[in-house]
Amino acid sequence: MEHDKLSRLLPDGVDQRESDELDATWRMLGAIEAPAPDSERMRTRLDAVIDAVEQTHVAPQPRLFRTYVLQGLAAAAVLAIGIGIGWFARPGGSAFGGTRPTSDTGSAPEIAAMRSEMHDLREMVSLSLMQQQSASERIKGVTWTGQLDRPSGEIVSALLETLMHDPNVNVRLATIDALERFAAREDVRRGTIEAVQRQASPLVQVALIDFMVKTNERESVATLRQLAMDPQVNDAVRARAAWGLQQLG
Amino acid sequence: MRNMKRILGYVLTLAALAVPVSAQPSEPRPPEPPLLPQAPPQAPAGDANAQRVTIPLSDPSRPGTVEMDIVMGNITIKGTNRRDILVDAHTGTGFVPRPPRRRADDEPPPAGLRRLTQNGGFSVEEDRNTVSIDVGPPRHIDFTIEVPLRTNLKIETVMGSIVVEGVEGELEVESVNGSVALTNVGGSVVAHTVNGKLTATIARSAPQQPMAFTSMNGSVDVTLPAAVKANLKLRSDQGDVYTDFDLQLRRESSNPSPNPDVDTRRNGRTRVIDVDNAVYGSVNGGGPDFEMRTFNGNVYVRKGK
Repeated sequence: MEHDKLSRLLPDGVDQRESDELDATWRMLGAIEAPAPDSERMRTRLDAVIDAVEQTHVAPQPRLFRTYVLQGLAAAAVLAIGIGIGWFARPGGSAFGGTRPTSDTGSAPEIAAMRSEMHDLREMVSLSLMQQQSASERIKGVTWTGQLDRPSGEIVSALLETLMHDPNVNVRLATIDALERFAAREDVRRGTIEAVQRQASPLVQVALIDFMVKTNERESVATLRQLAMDPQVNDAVRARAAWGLQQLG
Repeated sequence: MRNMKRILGYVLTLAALAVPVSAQPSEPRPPEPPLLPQAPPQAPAGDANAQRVTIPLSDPSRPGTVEMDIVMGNITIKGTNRRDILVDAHTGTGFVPRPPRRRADDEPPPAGLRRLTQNGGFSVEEDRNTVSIDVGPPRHIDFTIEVPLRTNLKIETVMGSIVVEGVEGELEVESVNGSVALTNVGGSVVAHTVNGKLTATIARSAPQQPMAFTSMNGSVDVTLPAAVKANLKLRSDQGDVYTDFDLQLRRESSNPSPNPDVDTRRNGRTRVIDVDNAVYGSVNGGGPDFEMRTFNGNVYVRKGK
């Protein structure tokens, strides 16, 4: 519904996919902190925010603080982009009583700028979600990286960090799927090999072994051999590692 | 022009939101509220090895959070109409050898004497709507906890099962050597067990929130609302996947690999099924990702009422 209106509004320089992404981003932003402007709920929301900030001071949690700053920045970026869209989308150039010509010849660089801002914004949303207290939100952040066109190194580092240190098994599992598209990167190959050795959860270990087979990660052979021979390791994991060796060998 | 106004409306709303949110961290902090006095554990009459603690929430109008991470013991959590949290702890059924000279917990005190030490060996603390339950040195304690209907949970046990009934919120539940059973729950669920069966009946799912239900050595059996909108990621390495949902199968995962360095042939359909035996599909038009996965066992996804 919104989506249809948006696509009609967007000039020719912006394709369907892009407007889809825009739509998705707005929905995403709506899903984060969205205080309604009625004062009663604003108040409780505000209290919640104050509580959360207090908490960061009691037990220092710089991550949480960063989340709020990021969300603020994200909101500001959307504001800028929204104004941009409004400007481009003026029917016949008559909005604000402006006299801008109706042709879109001059808008290509602006669209490019908008696109890059859009990209930064979506990265920010992903990173901020990956820092949340709730495991479901962190999974959302991890999955969201799958929709980024050319994710920066920061996104890949955040995914690797999550794979190594996230306390929740299901968040780590989701991270393995998200890392698949970066399997060619050296840091991802090293990170996954390190993770399979340190991992406490057998299900995550199996998923990592599958990842290595799927992405033909030949550097992992020594590690897989070690896992297959280690009597301390879960039997199913040892069997999977042996199978992985066979596939890679 | 109408659309224009609509867009401007969005932009202004977002601007209005941006200001308070971004301004928050620099606001002066109000003074810390004093910690609520903790109610000492009291034994319910007639049961010497049970202890009961009721603890209020700082702000009952907001959902509280219950956090616990124990080593030995079963955990049962029930959503009720109460506004505080009731913790019932039951010891004495454990398989843990006790220190040799310690009196048995369920032994009645000698005539005329009353016991001063607490046999519970656990503590309950509330801080800004988060209730943390801690058990001291590893011993077997079973917990039955009553919480308000809307409560977030972060519950872990190593040797024990977890049951959650009628709670709505962000539910994070994990067991190592026990089953996990969630009935009539709502919100978002992220659940895992290593050596147990995982069953869940979701009455209402939170929109746009991903969920995950995974096990290593047990079946995963999840009932979702019939109208749920979700993208399902289903896999069983050594078993099968069953559903009565009308699943629109997708050939690739939600993370397509645009990376030219990865050999796409190896990521093609047959290869994916060979490696992880995964099924990706959407129900009711798709939505957030729900992952159901087990290594040894079947995955069942059922359509609820």
